[in-house]
Amino acid sequence: MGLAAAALVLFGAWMIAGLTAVRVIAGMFVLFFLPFYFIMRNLDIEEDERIFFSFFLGFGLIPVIVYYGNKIISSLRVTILVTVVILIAIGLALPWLKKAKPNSQ
Amino acid sequence: MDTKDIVALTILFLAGFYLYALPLAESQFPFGEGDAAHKYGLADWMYDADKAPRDMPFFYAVWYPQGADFYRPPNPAPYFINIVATRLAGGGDRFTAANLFLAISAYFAVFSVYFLMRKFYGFWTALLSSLLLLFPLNSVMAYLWGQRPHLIALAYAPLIFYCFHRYCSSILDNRPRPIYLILAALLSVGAAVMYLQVIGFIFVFFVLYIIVLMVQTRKLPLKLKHLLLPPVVFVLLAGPFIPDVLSQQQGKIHIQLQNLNHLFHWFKPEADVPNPFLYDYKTINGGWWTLPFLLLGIAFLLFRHRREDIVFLAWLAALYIMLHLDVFNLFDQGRTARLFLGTAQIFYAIAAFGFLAILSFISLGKQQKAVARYALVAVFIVLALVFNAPPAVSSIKEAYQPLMRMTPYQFEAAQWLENNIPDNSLVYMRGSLTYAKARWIHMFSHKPVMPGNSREVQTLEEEIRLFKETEDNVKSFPSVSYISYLVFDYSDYSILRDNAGNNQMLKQQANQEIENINKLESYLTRNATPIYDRNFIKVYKLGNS
Repeated sequence: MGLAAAALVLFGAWMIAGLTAVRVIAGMFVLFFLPFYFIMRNLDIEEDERIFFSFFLGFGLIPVIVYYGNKIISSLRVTILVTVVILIAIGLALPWLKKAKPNSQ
Repeated sequence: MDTKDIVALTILFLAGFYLYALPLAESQFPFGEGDAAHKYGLADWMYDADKAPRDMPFFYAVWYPQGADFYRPPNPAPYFINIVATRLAGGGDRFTAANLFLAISAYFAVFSVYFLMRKFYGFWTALLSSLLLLFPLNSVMAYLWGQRPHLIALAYAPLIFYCFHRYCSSILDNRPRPIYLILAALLSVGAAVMYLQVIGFIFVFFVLYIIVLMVQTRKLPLKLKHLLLPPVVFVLLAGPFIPDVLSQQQGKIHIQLQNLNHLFHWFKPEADVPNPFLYDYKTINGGWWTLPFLLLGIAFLLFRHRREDIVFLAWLAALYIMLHLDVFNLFDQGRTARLFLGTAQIFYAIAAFGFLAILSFISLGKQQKAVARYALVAVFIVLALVFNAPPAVSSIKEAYQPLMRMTPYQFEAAQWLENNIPDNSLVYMRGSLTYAKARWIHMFSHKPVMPGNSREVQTLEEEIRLFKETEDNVKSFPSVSYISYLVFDYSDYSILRDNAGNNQMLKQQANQEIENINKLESYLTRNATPIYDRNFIKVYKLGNS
């Protein structure tokens, strides 16, 4: 159902504002939603909370992290991509780290 | 969240997208007043410069020069970085991607209110309140004119309130969930970096909610050890942006009571507040039809006062307090008016709740109640579509027709300025149809352009006086203190004159403006040769002509 809704949203956006709209919506999903969604999957909260909070946290916190990251990486565009990749990697790695923790004790 | 939520959210998203993207059908160029150009311009520059420094570039800083804080930004960088990121996703498109970002982010509150209402009161109240939130006329005008970060920041409030409620409830139920307090802090960072003033509102809510819960339960709904981490998180992430924003506040605060009659109104605009229609309940809410349900909803919440209900009452009270800070001379109305944009969220949420609460006053069987609910929902949707949607749709559709935005002629001239004059050359510009248009040219040229139409002038003497005033003003600028280029833009008035048809008055006005600009041009340039002369726009270099 979620996939059908996503397809409908992208199709609707394409009808309304063309291919750039599809790229923008898909881009906002990847840039602002996915990084924190992967991280929040590891928190003991409800799924709808995870979905809504992920987007708003991504929208508010990713640019803050990018701002600080841009002090180290000179290119703003590269910093954005690196930030998103690192956050997604952290989100994906967290379950592994959680599993590894009891074994290391 | 189940299937019906996904369907509802998809419809709400697409309806909002269609509505808020309407201005993009007419022209690819961005639109809005000075505020819109100011915010769009920095993001545009950041994308091109490929950096997000703390200090503003010179061309941008000249707009609101702040003396010792000349280069300090009035808005935190994260909002602009989000636009850069979206442009990156949109393939670098200079206009469409950024415009779509602005359109989508203008109705974020629809989703945060949906979430809160869904969690507290179920699907139908969530759907109805969110539907109405697509149309509040003051939010629509804020989107069109350019107070866009405020709309985003206010959209965080329902989620923050929800997290705080969950945390307090977990303490009162002896099952502490400090994660919700940390989430509230992180979400507050998001709100703060979009528009700092919202944090005051959120803080007042926290205090009121705690007080009411304490009175109700005689327990402290917090654990002191949990209070250590969230402020640290907030200060670490948002703290560095706060001094720059606060440094823009001019003058010292002198607390004194004034305008006490304002306390008896939800918001009473002073006589000189611009656009008073934006504070008129009937105008912004599609008539009076929501008011009885708002009052009924408040009465019902007060009567029932569950913890969820108290969230809404504390929200309402916090907003009331913030909207009346002018009574204590803490803020002028120009500032408090920004938070008035948050009124629609709480009013519509309570009105939708009050509307469906009618059912609890009628004794019906289970099946009859379900039918009655569907009937009420249908009535509400019809009322929203008949009364609330049309003013919003027509405002968005008719706003900023192509001539009211930067035109291709002006964009070409802006690009020429960008590529052909030094970064620290001050440019005086006269001629564009509106002050906002001149500012859009300023922003897209990435050069310090000083618009000569900041106020209306009629005679050559007034034109010269305005030019001299600008010359005097720039003397305090740090890196360059004299005007070295002049731009005379006849393009708008030429288009207006050529398209006036039989409208003699319009034709005459356009000719008069062209004559005024021409007189100033002759006076300042002494018939020198322009270095750019295309599409009714001329550029001169001063001192080298």
